[in-house]
Amino acid sequence: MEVLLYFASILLTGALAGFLAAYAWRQRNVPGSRAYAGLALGECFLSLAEIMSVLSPTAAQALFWWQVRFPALAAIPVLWLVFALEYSGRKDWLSKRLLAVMFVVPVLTQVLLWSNSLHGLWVRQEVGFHRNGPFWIAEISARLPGLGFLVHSFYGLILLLIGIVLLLVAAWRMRHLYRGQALLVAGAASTAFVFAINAIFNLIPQTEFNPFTPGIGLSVLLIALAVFRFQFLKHAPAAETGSKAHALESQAGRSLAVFLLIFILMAAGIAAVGYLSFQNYESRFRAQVESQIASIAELKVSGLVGWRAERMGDAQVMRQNPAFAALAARYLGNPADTQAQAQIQAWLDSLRSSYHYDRVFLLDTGGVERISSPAAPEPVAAHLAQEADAISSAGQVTFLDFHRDTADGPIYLALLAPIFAGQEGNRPLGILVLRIDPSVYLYPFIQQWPVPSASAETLLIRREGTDALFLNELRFQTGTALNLRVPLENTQTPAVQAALGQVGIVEGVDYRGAPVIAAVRAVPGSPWFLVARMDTAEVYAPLRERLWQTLIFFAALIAASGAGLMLVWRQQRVRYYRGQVESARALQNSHALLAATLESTADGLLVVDRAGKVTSFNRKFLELWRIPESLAATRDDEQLLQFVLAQLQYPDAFLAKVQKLYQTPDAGAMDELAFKDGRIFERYSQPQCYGDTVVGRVWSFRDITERKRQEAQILAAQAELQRLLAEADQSRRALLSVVEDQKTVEEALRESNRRLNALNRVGLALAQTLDLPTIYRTACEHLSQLVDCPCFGISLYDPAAKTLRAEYMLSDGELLEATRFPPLTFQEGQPLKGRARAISTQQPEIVADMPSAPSDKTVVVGAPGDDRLARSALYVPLVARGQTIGLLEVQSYRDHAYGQAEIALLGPVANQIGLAIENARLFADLEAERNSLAQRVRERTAQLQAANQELESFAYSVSHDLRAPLRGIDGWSLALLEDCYAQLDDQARQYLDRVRAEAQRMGRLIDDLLQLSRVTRAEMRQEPVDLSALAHTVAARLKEAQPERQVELVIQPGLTAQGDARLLEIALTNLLGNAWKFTGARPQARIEFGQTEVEGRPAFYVRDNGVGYDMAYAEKLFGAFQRMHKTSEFPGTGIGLAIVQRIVHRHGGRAWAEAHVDQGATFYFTLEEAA
Amino acid sequence: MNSKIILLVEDNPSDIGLTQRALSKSHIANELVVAEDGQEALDYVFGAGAHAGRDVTELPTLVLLDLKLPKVSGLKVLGRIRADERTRRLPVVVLTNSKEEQDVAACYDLGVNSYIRKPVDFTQFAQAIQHLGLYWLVLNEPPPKVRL
Repeated sequence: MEVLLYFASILLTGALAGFLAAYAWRQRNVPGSRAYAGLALGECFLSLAEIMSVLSPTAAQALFWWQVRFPALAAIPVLWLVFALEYSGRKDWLSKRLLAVMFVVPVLTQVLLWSNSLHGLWVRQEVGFHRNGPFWIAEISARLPGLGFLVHSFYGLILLLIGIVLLLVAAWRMRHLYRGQALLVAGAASTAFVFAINAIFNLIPQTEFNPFTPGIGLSVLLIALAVFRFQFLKHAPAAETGSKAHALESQAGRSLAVFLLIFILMAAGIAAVGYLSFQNYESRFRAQVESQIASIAELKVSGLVGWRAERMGDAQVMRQNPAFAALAARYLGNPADTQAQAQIQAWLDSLRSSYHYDRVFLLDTGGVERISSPAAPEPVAAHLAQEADAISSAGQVTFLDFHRDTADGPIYLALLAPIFAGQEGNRPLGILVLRIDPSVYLYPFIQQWPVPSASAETLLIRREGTDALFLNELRFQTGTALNLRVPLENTQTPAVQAALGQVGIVEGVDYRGAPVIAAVRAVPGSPWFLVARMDTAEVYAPLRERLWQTLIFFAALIAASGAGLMLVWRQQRVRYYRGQVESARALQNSHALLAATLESTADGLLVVDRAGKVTSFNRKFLELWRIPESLAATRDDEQLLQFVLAQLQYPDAFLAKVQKLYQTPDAGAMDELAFKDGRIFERYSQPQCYGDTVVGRVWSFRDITERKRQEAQILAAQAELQRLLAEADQSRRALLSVVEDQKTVEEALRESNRRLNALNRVGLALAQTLDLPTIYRTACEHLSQLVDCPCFGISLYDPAAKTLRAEYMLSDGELLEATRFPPLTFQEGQPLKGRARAISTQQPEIVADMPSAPSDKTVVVGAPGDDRLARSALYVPLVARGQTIGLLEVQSYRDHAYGQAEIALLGPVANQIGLAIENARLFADLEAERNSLAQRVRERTAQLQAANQELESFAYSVSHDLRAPLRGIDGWSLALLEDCYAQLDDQARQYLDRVRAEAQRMGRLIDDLLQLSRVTRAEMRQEPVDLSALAHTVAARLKEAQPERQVELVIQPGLTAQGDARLLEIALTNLLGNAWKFTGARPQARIEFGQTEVEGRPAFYVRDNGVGYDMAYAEKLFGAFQRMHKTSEFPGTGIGLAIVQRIVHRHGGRAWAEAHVDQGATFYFTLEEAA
Repeated sequence: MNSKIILLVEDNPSDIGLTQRALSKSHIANELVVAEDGQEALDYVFGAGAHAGRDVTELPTLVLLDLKLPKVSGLKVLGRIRADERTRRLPVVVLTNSKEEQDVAACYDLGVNSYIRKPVDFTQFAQAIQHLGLYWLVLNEPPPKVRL
C-alpha cells in the first residue's frame, strides 16, 4: 500500500512537473519564467529517473537510474537561484561568469559520481535496494556519504538558502498586496529545503515511502501557484523599478536590522535541524548497540543452556547403562576382579577424554572412591561424601554447581550419577562422579566477545543469600570467581539487577565503578544469571565523533548563510550609496540649470531666505534697480535696501508691505512700484518651498513703464468708440418698426410650411404600413400635432348596409374600446346632418355647437364618467377610389374650435388615410388568398406523398411475392418434365416448355416493371456525368455478353451532362441495348452515340443501322408494353423505351425517334430542356 | 459431411420443395432443417420453443434465409443471429425474391455473408444452389466455434 502510494506520488510529480515546465515555457515573457521552466523540467527529469529506478529489472540497473537523478538534483538548486535572482529583480547580478561558477559544483558532482569506484570520494557506500512487489526501493540509510556528496548537499542547501533570503528581502520591500505571494514562493523553497535536509541526514527514519522527490515536486507546485495563480511574476519587483530608489532610501535604516533578524531566524532553524539530526542519529545508534549487546547475551545464554543439557545427558547415559552397571557390580562385589577393573578403567578414561571432564571416579555407597580416571587416587572431598549419601537415596542425577573442594583449591563443577545394579529403585551400587574444570571450556566461552571491543565482557552471577556472587574470572580484576560478592542493595550494579531477575538492557555502574550498558538475563534451568556489558564510554565514542562532524557542518552552514546574507546586504548598501551619489550629481546639475535660467530671464530676480537675508539675485535685477556692481558685491542688505528705497516715490508704503509679507511667509503678493523718475515696476513676490516647508522668498521685478503708457492710449480709444456706438443705436431703433411688419408675414409662411411638412410626414408614415391599427395610431399621432383634438376617432362605412362602425377611438390620450360604440345605421328619408351628411356628400362637416345634453348620436367619444362634453366637432369623410369608406372625426371641448383652416388641413390627411386603409384591406385579401393557396399546396403534397408511399409498398410486394409463384410454375414444370418424362408425349412436353417460357417471360416483365417504377421513384442527384465513359462501359458489357458479334461502335468522346449517373446509365443501357438487339441481323452492324443540335439545343442521339420501324407507330414507341416487332423476331418486354423516357423526363428533357423500315433508327434525347 | 446441417428458413412450401430438389440434384446430401417462419428459425438456432433442449453448440453449417417470413422477418432473424455472441460468426446467406436496394443494403449492414436473389428460371435456381453448396460447404473454411 505504502509503496504503491510512493510510486503513484512520483508518477504524479513527474507528470505535474512536465506540465508546469511546458506551461511556464509558453509564458516565458514573464520575468523568471524561463528559469522556472528549467526548474520544473529538472524536477520532471528527477521523477522520471526515479520511476525508471523503481521499475528496473535488476538492483544494478535500479542503482544506475538512481545515479542518473543526480544531474537534475545538482542543477535544481542553481536553477532555483537563477529564478530567485531573476524574480527579485537582480537579473543584473547574473553575469555569464557567475553562471559558469555556479555550475562548477554540479559538474564536479557528476565527475565524482561516475568515477566513484576509483576514489570513493562521492560515497563510501552507495544506497542499497530491496524488492517490494514489482518495485525496487532504495535504502538511503545504507549510504555512507563521502566528501563529494557532502559538498554537493551543502552547496545545494546554501543556494536554496540564498534564494530564500532574496525572496524574503523582496517580500519585505514589496507592496503589501503581493507580499503574501512572495512569502508563498519563499515558503515553497523552504519546503524543498526541509525535504532535502531530511533526505541528506535521514532525519525521519525511512519507510517504503521516500518523500524526497514528491517533496521537491510540492515545492515546484507551490512556486507555480504563486507565479501563475496569483500572477505573481507580473508584479515582481523587477516591474517596480520606478519606486525602487525611494524604497531603498527609506529601507536603508531598517534593512540591517531585518537582515540580522533573518540571519538569527535562519541560524536558529539550521541549529534546530542540526540538533534534530543528531538526536535522530543518536537514538538509532543506541538502538543498534543495544541490539548488539542483547543478541550477544542471548547467544551466550543459549550456549550455556546447551552445554548444561549435554553434561546432564552424559550423566544420564551412565546412570541408565546396564553394561556399565553390571561391570560396576562385578568390580564392587569383587575388587580383585582385575578384568572388570580394567574394563571400568577404560570406560572411565574414554568418558573423561571424550567429553573433557577433569576427573571421573566411582564412589561406593559409603562415599569411598573405588576407581578413578586418571588412575591416581585423590582424597574424596567431605561435601562429596555427604552428597553421595543424599543422591543414593534420591536415585537421580545431580548437578553440583561451582564449588571448591578445599577453601583455596581450584573451582569445579560436578555431575553425580547413581549406578543401579539390575532393577532401578533399589539402593544403588555406587555413584559415578563427573568432575568439570570450568577453566577448560566454560570460562573461555563466557569471556569470549564476538567482536573486537576494548571493554566488553560477559559475567556469570549466582544469587547467594543477600549477595550476588560472581562465578567467573573478570576481565579487569583477578581472583573474582566465587570470591567477589556485591550486596543486593547496590541496585545500580548490572550484576545485582541480573540477580534480582531483571531482563533486558540496563545502565549502571559496574564492579570497577565505571558506567556501563548491559544486557541482563537469567540462564533457564540453572541458578545462573548472565550479564553482557560494555563501557558507556566505548559505546558512545563514535557518537562523539559524529557530534563533532554535525557541529562543524551546521556551523559552516550558518556561517555560509550569514555570508550570503552579508553579500545581499552589502549589495543593497552599494546600491543605496550609488543612488545617493547619483542624486547628488543630479542636484548639482539642476542647480547649474537654475542659475542659467535665472540669468536668461527678462525679469529681475531676488532670492532671500526666511529671515529676509539676500541669498542670490540675477544680473537683470541689478540693471533694473541700477545697483552698482560694487554695492552688489558687498552683499550688505541694509545698504541695498536704502539704495532701493531712495528711488521710490512712496518708500514707506513699500516698506510696510514688505514687512507685512514677512509676517506671513507662505503668502504671495503682487504690486506696482512707482519710481521718482516716472518708471513703474511690477513687483511679484512668491514663497520659495522645499517640499512643504517655506525656506525663503523670491522677488521678481519687471519694468512696465512702456506697457502702462500703451494702456492709457487704449483707454482713450475705447471712450471714443463708446460715443460712436450710442449714435448708431438711435438710427437702428428707427429701422426696427419696419422690420416688425416683415416678421408677421414670415410667421404665417413658417406656419404653413410647418403644416405642409406635417402632411408630408403623415403621408410617409401611412405609406409605410399595411396594418390597420398602426394606420389609425399613426394618423392620430400626427393629427394631434396639427390641430386641437382631445378626442379623435376613425370609423369605417359599409355602403351596402349603410352602417358606420367605430374602429379607433381616442379620448384625452386614452384608447377606448371600439365595441363601446354601437354601429350607426343611416335610414333613408332622415334629414341629413352631422356624420350622415359628411358621408353622403363626401364633404367635411363642422358641428360648431353641440347639444349640452349627451345622446348616443352626438357624443361619440369621451371617457366614461367624464363630465366634460365636446363642444364642437369636425367630420371628414374618408374617400378611396370615389367611394366613401369611412369617417375621420375630431372633437374639441371648445366652442367653434374648427374652421376652414382645419378642413384644409384635414382634407388631404383624410385622403391619405382613406388610401392607406384601402391598401391595407387589399393586402389583407391578398394575404388570405396566398394562405389558402399554400394550404392547398400542402394538402396536395401530402396526397402525393401518400400515393408515392403506396406505390413503393406495392412495388416491394410485387418484387417479393409475384416472383415466387412464377418460380414454382417453372420449377415444378421442369420437375414434371424430368421426373415423368416417360409418361409424357411430345405434345405434353411442348406445352410444358411453353409454360416454362411464359413463366420466365413473366419474371422478366416483372423485373422490367420494377425497374420502371424504381426509375420513377428513385431520388435524383445532380452531378457532372461523363456520358462518353458511361457509353463505353455499357458497350463493353454488351460485347462481353455476345463476343461473337461484329459491331462497329462509335462513341463521340468528351460528352458530359449534368444529371444522375445511375439513371443515365440505365437509359444508355436500354438505348444501346435496343440498338444492339435490332442490328442483330446485320452483318456490318454500326451503332453510334453522339451529340448534335436540334432546334438550337444540344441533343444526344443513339443511331443504328438496324431494322428500324414504321414512323406511323412513332407515338406508341415510348409507351409501356408497346412493341414494334414480333417477340419471335426480337425478344423483349416493351418497357425499355418507357424507362428511357421516364429518365429523360425526370431530367427535364424529352426523347423522340426518327426511323424508317429497314434503314435503321435514331433515338434522340435532351437533358435539362428548360436550362 | 453428414453432420453438417443446412438450415433453410422459408415459408413457401413450393420454394422449400424446389430448394430440396435443387440440393439433391447437386448431390448435396447434408441434412436440411426447414424452419417455416422467423421465430422457428430463432428457436432452432438458440434451442428454444419447439427446439428447447437442442445442443446449441452444434450450429448449422449454413443458414439459407428468406427475408419475407411470417412472425419474425428475415432481417430480424439475421440481426438476432449477429447480435448473439454464440452465433455471430454463423454463415448466413440470404436467398430471397427481391433485390430491392433497401433490402440488400440492410442485409449487408447487418453482416450477411452473401445475398442471392432467387431466379425465376429453375435451371438457374438449381445452378445457384449448386454453387452455394460447393462454396459454403466445401470451399469455405468454416468459422471457429465461439468459446464462451
